[in-house]
Amino acid sequence: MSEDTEASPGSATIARLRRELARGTTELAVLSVLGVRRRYGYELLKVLRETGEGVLEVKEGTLYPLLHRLEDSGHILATWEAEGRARPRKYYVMTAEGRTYLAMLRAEWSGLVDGMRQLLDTLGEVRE
Amino acid sequence: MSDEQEIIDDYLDQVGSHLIGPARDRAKAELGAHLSDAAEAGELDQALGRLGAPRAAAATFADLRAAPPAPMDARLAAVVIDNLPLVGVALALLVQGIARIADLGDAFAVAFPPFLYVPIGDGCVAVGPATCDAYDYAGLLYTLGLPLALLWSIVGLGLVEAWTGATPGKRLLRLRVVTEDGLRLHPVGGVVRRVSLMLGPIAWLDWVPVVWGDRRRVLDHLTGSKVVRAAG
Repeated sequence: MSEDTEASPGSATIARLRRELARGTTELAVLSVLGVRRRYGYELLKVLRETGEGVLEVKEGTLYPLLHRLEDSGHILATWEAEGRARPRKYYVMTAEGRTYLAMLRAEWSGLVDGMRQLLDTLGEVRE
Repeated sequence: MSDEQEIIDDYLDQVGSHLIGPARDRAKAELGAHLSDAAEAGELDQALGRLGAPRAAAATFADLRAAPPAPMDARLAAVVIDNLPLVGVALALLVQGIARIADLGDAFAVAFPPFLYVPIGDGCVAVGPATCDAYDYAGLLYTLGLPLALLWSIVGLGLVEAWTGATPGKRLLRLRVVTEDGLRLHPVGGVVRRVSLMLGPIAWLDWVPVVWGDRRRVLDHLTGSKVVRAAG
């Protein structure tokens, strides 16, 4: 990144930053929700949008590519099931690999949050 | 059928029209289930609002979006297979030219793709670097054979590529053509990315970016298209 963009971050830069931050957190959020029990796509989106007071703002356009990626990497498994309904739903369930991956993501996330908090607190003290 | 189901089906058809291959089936199935669930919850409008235009929704299901351009050797092999009629015409012109040397001791032109010129009245219009009598000796082979071969190579292949995502040669070599977003090519784009074949041998200028390691032809760039390995 050049010094110019660092000095004067435009709205495009902020939007990109938010997208990048959200991308990491959405993955953690999706896996955490699926870690409790299996869900179908619409249900998963509702849970993500409603918990955390909508802080995630997940849209279909983010969720489905992410689910495809997690499926391709073997972290989740997807199966179509009708369960006595007229119309089948695609259920997403966590795999053993996914659990290991989620544990790692959670550890990374906690480390990052703790580290950032320490950093901000330290800088806050210096300023005071 | 309810109004909402009609809206969903219509939306899915539009999304599907932007996609090729497995991505198309996956998008229609997953989005179909998703939108039906949204409709059941009375939230179809909100879901459609978040998804946006069908093209944008299609882009999120375009599995070839991130695919890197395919290697040029596979592409060239596909070019030879797809353009066999044109190769055949060029070879026949070559054979006739050689026979002409033997008979008349005259020079003749060798080029692939062959030079193209259209006689109009007493004069003629040359497309690319052609003299208007380059293939006078060839008769119907030139006046009928070449136009038909070019029609196949440019319009035929262009439309097949836009409709199905691949020409026969590309299908054989497991290649697909998509937009930079991984979506299905517009028929105009499919045809335009092949018009260089009308320029005679300078059509190869289209492939010049390969020299500096770019895996996209000039016309790939101009039409916003890329050739990639098929998914799966």
